[in-house]
Amino acid sequence: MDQNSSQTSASAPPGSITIQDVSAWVLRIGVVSSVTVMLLGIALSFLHRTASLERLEHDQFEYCPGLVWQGVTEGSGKAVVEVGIYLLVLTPIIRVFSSIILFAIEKDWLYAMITALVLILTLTGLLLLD
Amino acid sequence: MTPEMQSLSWLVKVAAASFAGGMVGSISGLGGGIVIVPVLTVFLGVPIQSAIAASIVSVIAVSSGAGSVYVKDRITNVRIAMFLELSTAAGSLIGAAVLSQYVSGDFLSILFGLILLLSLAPILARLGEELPQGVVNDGLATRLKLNGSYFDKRLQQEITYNVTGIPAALVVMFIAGIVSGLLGIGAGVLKVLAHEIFMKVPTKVSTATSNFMIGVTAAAAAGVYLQRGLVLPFLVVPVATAVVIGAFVGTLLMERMSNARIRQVFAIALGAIGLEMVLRGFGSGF
Repeated sequence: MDQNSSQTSASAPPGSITIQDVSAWVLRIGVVSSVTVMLLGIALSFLHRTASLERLEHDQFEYCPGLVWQGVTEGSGKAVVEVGIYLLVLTPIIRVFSSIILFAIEKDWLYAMITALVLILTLTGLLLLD
Repeated sequence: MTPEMQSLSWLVKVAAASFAGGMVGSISGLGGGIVIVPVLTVFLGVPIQSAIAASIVSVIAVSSGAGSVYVKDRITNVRIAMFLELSTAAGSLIGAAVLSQYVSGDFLSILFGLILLLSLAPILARLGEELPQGVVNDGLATRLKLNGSYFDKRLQQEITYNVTGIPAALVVMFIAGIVSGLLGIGAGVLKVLAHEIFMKVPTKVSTATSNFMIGVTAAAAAGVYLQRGLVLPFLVVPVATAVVIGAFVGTLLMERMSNARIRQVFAIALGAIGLEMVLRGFGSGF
């Protein structure tokens, strides 16, 4: 149902890109690509016989972007899975970021500011808890 | 049974629970942890911290997967989501950074569980109501242009709605943030409650909008679990995959269900989470 609703800002001319459309695409691309990468990683692990069904329950995440990247270049399936997890976690954050830009394009400064604050608070939380 | 076969049946159970979690989560706006956490811990022997970590990752997957459908179909109210998320994000920061040093997690679990069980009353009182009647925009809602409309696929008509009770909703959202910052979970249910009890938006809008917001809150929480090494990558793959498929199936059902039926699904989930939190607080190992 693509009926345009009154939620779309009045200042957005008809036919222009809306926040709803951009958010939908960011979320869809994010979730589909992250699950695809995760499945690729697990397939790679089984191919290299570094994973077995029994080990699925126990292997730990090695939190460190540098290590993960090194693992990917070495073709480690687990590192590829971890990239998929990063992609998934980043998806909502990228969605918020894209909304800031879209609100600004619509010249809806109040909501651009609210959304920017949400992004700052969320990122502060992530970094504070190191 | 050989260990390999045992592991295969374990995997099938994980996938089945995650599929169900994704479906319930995307219909009720809660994310899916309600099904996944108890099944993983009680029936499949996963440690509670890793189960919660997997559930947080699954919340992001449900929020993004189902969210992409609801926002495209204009059921999500993006303005409500962003405005209230501000309050949640602030609460979550204070909860995690300041309060976590003074408040016991067990005590909070019990308190939170009891609040949820009490909040069943106003939901049950309106259990059969299809659309809220006679709602007038309050001052903040007008200034922030929070009212909106969506096309209801079941009623086959455009539903226009007003929004009220913003100050009360802001307080609840702030508490939702504190709770999620302290417990790492549980914010979705307070978001739906604020929409339902105070803002009085149609139930589809309330679950779709909550679903849209929980991804951001969960992403912030996920960072902590990743850093502590609690996320088991190979557990997350079957969980995330099945939960996304469940979430997409859930959106097909949700858009065709009546608002009253969705509220019933939410009421059952609300009771279950309330009970689960009380039991967890008393150390039942949930």
